[in-house]
Amino acid sequence: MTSARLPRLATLAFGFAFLYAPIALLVIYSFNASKLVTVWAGFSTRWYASLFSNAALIASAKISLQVAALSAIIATFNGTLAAFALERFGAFRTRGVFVGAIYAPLVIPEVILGLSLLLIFVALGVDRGFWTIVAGHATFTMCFAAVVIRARLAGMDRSLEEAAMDLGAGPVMTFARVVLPQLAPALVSAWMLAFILSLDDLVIASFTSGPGSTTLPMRIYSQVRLGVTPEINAMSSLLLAAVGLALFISAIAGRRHES
Amino acid sequence: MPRGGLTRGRLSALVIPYGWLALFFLAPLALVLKISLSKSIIAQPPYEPAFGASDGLAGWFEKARAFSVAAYRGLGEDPLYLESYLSSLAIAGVSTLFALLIAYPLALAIARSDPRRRSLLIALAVAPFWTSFLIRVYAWIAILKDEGFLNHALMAIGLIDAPLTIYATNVAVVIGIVYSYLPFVVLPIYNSLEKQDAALREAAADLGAGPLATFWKVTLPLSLPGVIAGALLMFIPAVGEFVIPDLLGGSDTIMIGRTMWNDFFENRDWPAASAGAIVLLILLVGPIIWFERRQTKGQGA
Amino acid sequence: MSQTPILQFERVSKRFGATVAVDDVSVDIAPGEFFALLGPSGCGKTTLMRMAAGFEQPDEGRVLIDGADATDAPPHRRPVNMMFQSYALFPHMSVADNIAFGLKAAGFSREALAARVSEMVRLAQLQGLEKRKPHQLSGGQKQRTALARSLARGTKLLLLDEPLGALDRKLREETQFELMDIQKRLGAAFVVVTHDQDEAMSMADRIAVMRAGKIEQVGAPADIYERPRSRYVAEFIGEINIFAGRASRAGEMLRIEAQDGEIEAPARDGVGDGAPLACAVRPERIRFAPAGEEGANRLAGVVHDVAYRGDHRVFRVRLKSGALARVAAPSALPAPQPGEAATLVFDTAACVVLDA
Repeated sequence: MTSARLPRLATLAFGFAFLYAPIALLVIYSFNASKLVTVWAGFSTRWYASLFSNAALIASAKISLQVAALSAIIATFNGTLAAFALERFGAFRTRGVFVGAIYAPLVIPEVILGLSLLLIFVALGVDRGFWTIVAGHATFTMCFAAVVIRARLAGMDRSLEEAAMDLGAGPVMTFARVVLPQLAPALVSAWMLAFILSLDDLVIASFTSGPGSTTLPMRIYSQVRLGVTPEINAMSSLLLAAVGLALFISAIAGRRHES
Repeated sequence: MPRGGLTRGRLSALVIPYGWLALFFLAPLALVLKISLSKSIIAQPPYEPAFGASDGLAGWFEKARAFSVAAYRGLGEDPLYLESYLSSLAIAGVSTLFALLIAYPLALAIARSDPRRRSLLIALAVAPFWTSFLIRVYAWIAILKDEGFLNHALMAIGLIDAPLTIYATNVAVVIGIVYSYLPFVVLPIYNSLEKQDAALREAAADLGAGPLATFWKVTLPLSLPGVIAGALLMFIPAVGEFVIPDLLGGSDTIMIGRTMWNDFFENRDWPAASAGAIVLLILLVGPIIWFERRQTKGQGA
Repeated sequence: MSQTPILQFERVSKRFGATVAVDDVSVDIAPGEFFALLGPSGCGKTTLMRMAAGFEQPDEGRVLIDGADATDAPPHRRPVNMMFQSYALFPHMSVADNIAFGLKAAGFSREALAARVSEMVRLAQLQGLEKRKPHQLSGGQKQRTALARSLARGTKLLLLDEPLGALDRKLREETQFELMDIQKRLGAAFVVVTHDQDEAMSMADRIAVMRAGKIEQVGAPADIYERPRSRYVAEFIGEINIFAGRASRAGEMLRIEAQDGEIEAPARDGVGDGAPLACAVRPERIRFAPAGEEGANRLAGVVHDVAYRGDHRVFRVRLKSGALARVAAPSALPAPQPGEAATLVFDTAACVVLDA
């Protein structure tokens, strides 16, 4: 369809400009010398410097990374088991409830999830803090992990497992030598998805956190409400760079795995 | 090898995720329902429980009769909640419509690109989803402010004389929602377009249909499942959105997520917020079930 | 059979929901035999094989392997190996690792394992490909890797699910001979599932023709081709002409009043006068009769069309009733042209009498 080349390129240009221009502006103005975010006053890295002297921000970033790493491990573990239950166990009683509980958190507004988690922690008399955020994040991210892993499982040739058993491998060897290597890329992407979702979450963290466990999005949010500052631009740019790097590495790894 | 049913090994594999979800998802939801049926008092926790474990069965029956639907009656009488629901649905609906108008041409343009470049383009279209939601919303503040980039640009080219007031209005909220959820909409539409056989279009052209007729009669109808999936994936969470209306909206932007947040953290009216959550869930469960039915039917065919 | 059969199905049945996949099947397979399960898709042949491998449990009946009841044994505890239709090669393992998989599971020592792998590599002519991953192999190489892997443990019973199904036509014929050769050399029993009658006929010592979960007939290929026991078997294996009508006894013969003429058929016990019967004749057993020749089993018609097949030609001849009869005649022989009248003739012995 070469006749439609021009409108196609125009659509692509407009679409990607819409998607990336706000991010680009944000990054560019993180290097602005002026305190005014929208008026360019020369190149400077002073906001990055001041960022690293902001102890509260650094502490929050540390908490966020720890919460994300831990909750992503739990979510991947739970998500793997859930994916097997959905894909391989056939019918069992209350399967419908289980399926609903896996898929509902994908679309239910985070405010409801956060609110309900807060209520259960209050009702159980649990002090809110680091571990309640981990539990909350592990819960909603395990559903995403389950979906990713289930898709991979569904695409896996069942006859590979049968072949392994036919060749004398018991269930443990079949899982370790045949299923797990096939599943590994999905486990990695499930963990990454869970990690990033947790790192990004503001709402559930706000409901489940306690004193001394302010995550990075919570810290950013409270500053953003007071107005746009170049320091937040710098912080955001660093986060974007980190995510961009992670995406790039996983894309390269994915390509290597395929070939 | 048994095809279905639970062996002992399978049961122990199921108990862990099921138990986790029961504790951290199902039980909390049940609790929300219970608290929504309680009376509001000023205390910590700020509600008078409707049921307690110590009540026993008889006690539960006794209390069930004395259920307080006050919170729900309050919702009906409180114009704030009614307005929140209506305006949430309207804002989410308008946003979904605009997102489709942007996402469809973009998905189509990607699907019709050189096959070698397609996967890179779709990855680029989805990549912003991986970056912080909060940061992407934040980026729009600097653009939409009265003295922001957009007004600077429009005034510089002489299109307007005075700055437009977009920031802190519902327009900004719609822009923010469209922007944030666009990857969710592009991906399913692209998937349904990409797997369409090019021979179908060639057959339509061969049978005398022009490019426009081919689009309306072949391409669009075949991509409708992707359009519906994308629209629902965006609409449902957008209804309950909190961050975007809070950061980009004005004081007159009323969305249910924000109303519930305020009732919870500022007014400390937990029963009202819980009742609000239950009503919202009921509003959203309908489309979810409809979508799930559609999906399973599609898989069966 | 005096030896203990290597594989026995004893009145085996298997249902999936409301459908009966395998219905009361009993059959014995001898050690070293090349056995084919032949039938259209959905006839239960694959389910039967999967019950031998242990991937399905029969609802009724027993499966015995080398005389021992294996009905409830899990797949990894059965002395049986299977070659999968999709080959099921482990995509993350090299050719050598694929072949070694079963040996590792059996706890082979490192030296024994290496020796056995190289032996199998030689057997399957995979030299030089040991380090390749499955996606770097051609279709034929994949097939040979799958075969080598399933034979590595030295099984006495190999199950092969459509072993040639994924190969193109020319390779398929070569591979048929390779399979037969390997089977003879190893002396293991091969059970092949196939829907391709040519494949079954050219490779197997015995064929079981299946239909709707039941075995219709078991026998040597020539037996099944020459003496099918039902119309289903006759029509499933090769081309055949069916002439049906009322039968009557005529001394040593049967006389069938078919619509297209009177047919003399070999006698069969227990046939009452007026019973509906059919005479089935293979196309290559029919000739064109020279003009003016008299005798039995003569059917008049007009040549409809001719298909040239190299060494022979297939004629379709329109008979009185409007039915089309097939005649296969060597290309070298003179034959009528399309549109010309012709008389078909066949020997009484060429007619297989079947229930109509």
